[in-house]
Amino acid sequence: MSQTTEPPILRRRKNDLPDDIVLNILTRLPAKSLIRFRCVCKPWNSSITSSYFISTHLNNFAHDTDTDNDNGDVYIIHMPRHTRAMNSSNRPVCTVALDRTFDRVFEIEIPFDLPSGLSKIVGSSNGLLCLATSTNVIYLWNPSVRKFKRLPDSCLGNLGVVTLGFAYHSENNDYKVLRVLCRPWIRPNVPDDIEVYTLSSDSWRRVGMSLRANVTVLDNSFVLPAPLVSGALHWISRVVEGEEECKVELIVSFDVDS
Amino acid sequence: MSNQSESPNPTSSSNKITLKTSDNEVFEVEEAVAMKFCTVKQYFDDENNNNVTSGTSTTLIPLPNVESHPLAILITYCKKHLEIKANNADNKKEMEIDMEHYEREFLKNVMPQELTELILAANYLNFKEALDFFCRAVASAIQNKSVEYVRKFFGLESDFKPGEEEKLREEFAWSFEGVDED
Repeated sequence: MSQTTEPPILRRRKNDLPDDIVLNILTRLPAKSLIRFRCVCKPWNSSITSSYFISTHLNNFAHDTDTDNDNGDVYIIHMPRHTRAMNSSNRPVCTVALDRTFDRVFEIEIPFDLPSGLSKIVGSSNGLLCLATSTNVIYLWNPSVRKFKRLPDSCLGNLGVVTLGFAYHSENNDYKVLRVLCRPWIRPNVPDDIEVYTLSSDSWRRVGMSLRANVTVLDNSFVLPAPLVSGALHWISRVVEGEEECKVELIVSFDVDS
Repeated sequence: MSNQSESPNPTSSSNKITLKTSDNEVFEVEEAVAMKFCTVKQYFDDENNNNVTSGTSTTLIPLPNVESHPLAILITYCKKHLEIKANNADNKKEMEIDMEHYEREFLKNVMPQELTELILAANYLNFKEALDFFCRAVASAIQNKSVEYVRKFFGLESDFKPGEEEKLREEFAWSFEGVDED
């Protein structure tokens, strides 16, 4: 038996990888590894937490659909309507899928409080989940880094029926939450108020509707969030027309890029 | 971005290109293979522009930053890559499946540390597909490893002040769960 094999670690010494390649490798790692590797050294810690890295990671990681990788995409698929779904430490849980194939589905603990245990799914995008409690408090939650954010209160208040939507604005690398407030019993036949939250500015702004008056959300559509289709959030509204108050249903869309 | 300069059928171009590594080994490869190495392609194009005569069959291209060991592996990988592409010219999905299969087999014969050498060679040669593949392979090799393993792998040392690293470890203790043994 000869000992001709040179220890690879020693041979590698002269072969340090250039920074751009190291970054290229890091952008292909799952979030959990990246959080751990912040401890490797200071330059890694600041690279991994930079916004440039995070958006590159999003692009690269989404393309590496290799099954060896723990894909960062998380899709929320079930939110219990009542507090009955609890884990061993008595916290509410929800069910998420780790990829589009739904091959790996499991329960995760919801880290924030849900008054009366009720909450609804608004949407999910790039592993970021948007949930709303029964008292209309909205949370953005990134389970892969175990962080969540409570959105500031909206400027329009909560009196009324609220329809919510959640979308990723890829061009600006930003996230938006749409909120349509319908107050049929307070101000009948008055169009809905619409406001949009933008994550980058962490604030709400009102949006005017480029439609004729009297467009209001259909009474019972609030139970479902506004779906995102071709870059726009959609919901069903109705128009009350004429003396006979004839009701016409229509689909309203909000262009996320706007 | 068009491939007009490349022959659509690699076997029809019998032009050979000779590559000479830093350890003075000479590799004769088909033009289609050499053209996947953008650095070689660039050199080759420049040479052609400078030479009015187009007799290129004797071109010898020096690669002072590449040793023979990684180059041999890269050539094998590249040939297979072209072959899989040619076999599935009209079926992208099939091509990806074949490529994935080949890459999985390929990695069985490569040590994680060897990947560094291959990455440096692919980077110098500007062979994008290989570079991407090797970066993915390194990512997959280190994703469950400890911080200490990763430092050793990349030849890095901690430069945190006392207490800083411990603070991070404490804050993100969950990310240290279920890590492989070094």
